[in-house]
Amino acid sequence: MQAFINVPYATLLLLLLTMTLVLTAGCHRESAEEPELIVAAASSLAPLLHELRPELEERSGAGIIIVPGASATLLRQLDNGAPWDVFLPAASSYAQQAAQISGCDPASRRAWARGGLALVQAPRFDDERPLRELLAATERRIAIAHPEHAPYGSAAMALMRQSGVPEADWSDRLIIAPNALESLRLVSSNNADAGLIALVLAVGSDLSYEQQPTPQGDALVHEAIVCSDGHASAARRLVDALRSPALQARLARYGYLSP
Amino acid sequence: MHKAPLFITLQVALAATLLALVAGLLMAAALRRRRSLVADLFDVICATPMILPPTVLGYYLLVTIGRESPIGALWESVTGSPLVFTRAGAIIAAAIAGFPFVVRASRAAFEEVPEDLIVAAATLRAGPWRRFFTIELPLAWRGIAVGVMLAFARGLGEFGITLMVAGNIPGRTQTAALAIYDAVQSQRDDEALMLSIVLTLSGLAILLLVKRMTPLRKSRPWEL
Repeated sequence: MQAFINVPYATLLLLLLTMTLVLTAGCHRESAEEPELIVAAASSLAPLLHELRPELEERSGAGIIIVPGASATLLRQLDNGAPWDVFLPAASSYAQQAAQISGCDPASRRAWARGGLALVQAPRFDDERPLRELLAATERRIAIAHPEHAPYGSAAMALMRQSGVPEADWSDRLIIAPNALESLRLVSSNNADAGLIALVLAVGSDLSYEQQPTPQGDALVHEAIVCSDGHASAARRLVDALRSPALQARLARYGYLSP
Repeated sequence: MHKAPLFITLQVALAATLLALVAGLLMAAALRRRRSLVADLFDVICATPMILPPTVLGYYLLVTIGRESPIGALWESVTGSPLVFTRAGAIIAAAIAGFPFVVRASRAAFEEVPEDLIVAAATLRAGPWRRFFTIELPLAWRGIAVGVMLAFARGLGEFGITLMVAGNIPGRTQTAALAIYDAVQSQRDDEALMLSIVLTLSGLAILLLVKRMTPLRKSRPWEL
């Protein structure tokens, strides 16, 4: 063993072990002291939730960690054991599926807003074209969220199909982003020429936008569902806060309709 | 700039490197100087994290340690919390990514140790463990250390497997790589840039260290 002990890197490894133990211990203490609600939200909601965070924290009585993502991805993660206390997908169908998952309370499902779509165009263009013209007569590439993972993506697809322009004319000009937030980023960075994105994201961005007709049915009805083990009452207070008149008024400023 | 992702990254990378070191060293020691179909098969399997898409590894890992799996269920029954979507999950993800670097570098280093030294020790009645700890490990340490540093660097930048297995939970499982992705998506470009610079400089520093440690043939300790 003498030779091994003399190796200088044995000391380094020992140092690594010590640092890991110290860091790990520090982290466990940190998480034990501050109970927090993990709110898994459709990525279109992330900027809004960040803005509403102080009020939501005050009304729920808990800290809030916001985890943005495509609704389907977050649902899949929830099914695999992700510790979401509140799940806020962008379409009610995902909340309905979440209600089947062990740990989620079906009775806690509440609709709290209805989203809309907006057409945004990249900042480098001066001429703003309506959707139909954009689909029919230009070479411009249009960003949308993934239609299979993100409700705003599937709503955008439905809207484009309703435009009357044959799908063959525009389908190869679509840029499929992983989620709604990413589709906005593609347009604002000029990497896509236009985007059919969540209205709330368009309102909160610097881009000029054109609001599109609200999809029929419950395609973009936002529901909340509580899936919390330890913080169920705080999670319910957060859902109630989202439905409160004060916050509903603020949501309306972002283009949300009442559900 | 938020410090939490950097702190979590450091913690995850360090713990993952230790895991990869222990598992990788055992595997490398078992495979050294073996030339058989089984050994080659194990060698190839150990290397797969280097070439498989992170999503594939993430999927396998999710199936292997998820709540429905025997390992995940056992972990949850013992600890009371699932293995996935926790920092432990992030550590396992980064360890899987770093494991092949330790195995390959360590195995090569072990095989560079002159066999006559080991045979000589055996004739002096040194047992296999003693030979390993007093001859092979000391002479191979430089190669092993290179593997460890590469595994650490890989752990610092791990993204895909972590995203699938540990999620992207700020303050809990969100490493620097995930925070950069988040910041870019949310157009917090300053934060993304700062974190990217920190990760780039860390990676460059480690690679430079690896470069400086990689011995020239003349400088091997047993070639005096």
